[in-house]
Amino acid sequence: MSVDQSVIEVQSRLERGKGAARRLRRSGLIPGVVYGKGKEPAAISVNADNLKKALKTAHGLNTVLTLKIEGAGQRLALLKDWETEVTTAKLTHADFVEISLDKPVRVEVPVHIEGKAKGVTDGGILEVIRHVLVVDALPANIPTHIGVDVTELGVGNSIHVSDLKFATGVKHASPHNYAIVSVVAPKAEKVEEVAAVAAVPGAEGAAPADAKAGDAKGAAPAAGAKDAKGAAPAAGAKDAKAAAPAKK
Amino acid sequence: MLAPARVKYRKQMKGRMKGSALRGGTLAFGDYGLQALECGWMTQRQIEASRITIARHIKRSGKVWIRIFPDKPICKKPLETRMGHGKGAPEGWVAVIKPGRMLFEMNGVDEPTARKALTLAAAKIGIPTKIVIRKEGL
Repeated sequence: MSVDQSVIEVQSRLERGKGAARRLRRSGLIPGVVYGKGKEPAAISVNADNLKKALKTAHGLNTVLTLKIEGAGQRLALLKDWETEVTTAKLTHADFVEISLDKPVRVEVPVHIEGKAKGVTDGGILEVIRHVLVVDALPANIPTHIGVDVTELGVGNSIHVSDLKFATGVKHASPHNYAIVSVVAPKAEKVEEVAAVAAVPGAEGAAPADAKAGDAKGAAPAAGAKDAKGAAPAAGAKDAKAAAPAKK
Repeated sequence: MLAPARVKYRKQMKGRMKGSALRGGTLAFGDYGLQALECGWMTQRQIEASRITIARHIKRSGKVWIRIFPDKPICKKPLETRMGHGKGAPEGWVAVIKPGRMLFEMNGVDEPTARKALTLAAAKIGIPTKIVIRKEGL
């Protein structure tokens, strides 16, 4: 097993701060940083498109990157963290951690579901609880994915980390025996029973009740409800008769 | 409908919705999600209407997560009331939505069904949204 490697050219970044970072982003680059244990961190700028291309390998985000820094040699690194714009998903920042090929690294490996679960055929819903697993491995041993065979999984059953067989040199990073995937029975759509909101004892007062005057199903309190005689009055509310949440 | 079980204070100020969602903007549970693109209030009725729409479209084949909760009380004065005399009575609950917020997530259905269900749900909401699908990588 060997990990995919890519080479990417980056530039040293001398300007710091949000103004410089924004100028950089307007020019098509994104700010980034390379750091590692016992190594001097270096501020860099990198082309986001090139970075995305470099990570389009079987190992995906765990591709080992050779960062060719202009005028400062090259460093072997993994993408450690990144920031994106929340709505457009555009990359805005990237963190790289410098690695050594003979020291283990901690990475997130995607979980791939294999097969069709018996429980799904019986009408259950396959629920993937963990889409990635954190493992410790030498860079050369990082798996592309962790396959989870769910063929024998019935309704109400789940597969835990202890049920998996990791490749040699790959170790789950957490002592917890997480559930990874389970098959759950579908829930029948329940008719909503609307309960009135209770006040906190000793607090200012009750929140809006959920029963609308003249509408047992409705949940919003009736503002201006005409038949709100039995309305729960707000504490000290002058217009309680007309405006307080009605309850029937 | 979703509403807090109890609250410490019955009335809140309107507040302002600045910036984008700092949390709750990614797919955390399901493979498909409906993400807000603009800010706004989503009422408990809108949330319930969307949930029912999704549930009816996917029938019993999938699982749905509601990623928002209407925890902000909204007050309203009665109709034909003169101004003044204090703040109106609590009328309902809303969730404050900022751009990027994941509103609903789904799992256990195929992509066309999920897209259709989320499109129908989006029609119940007064906020522009987009459908997000889980993918590996950047």
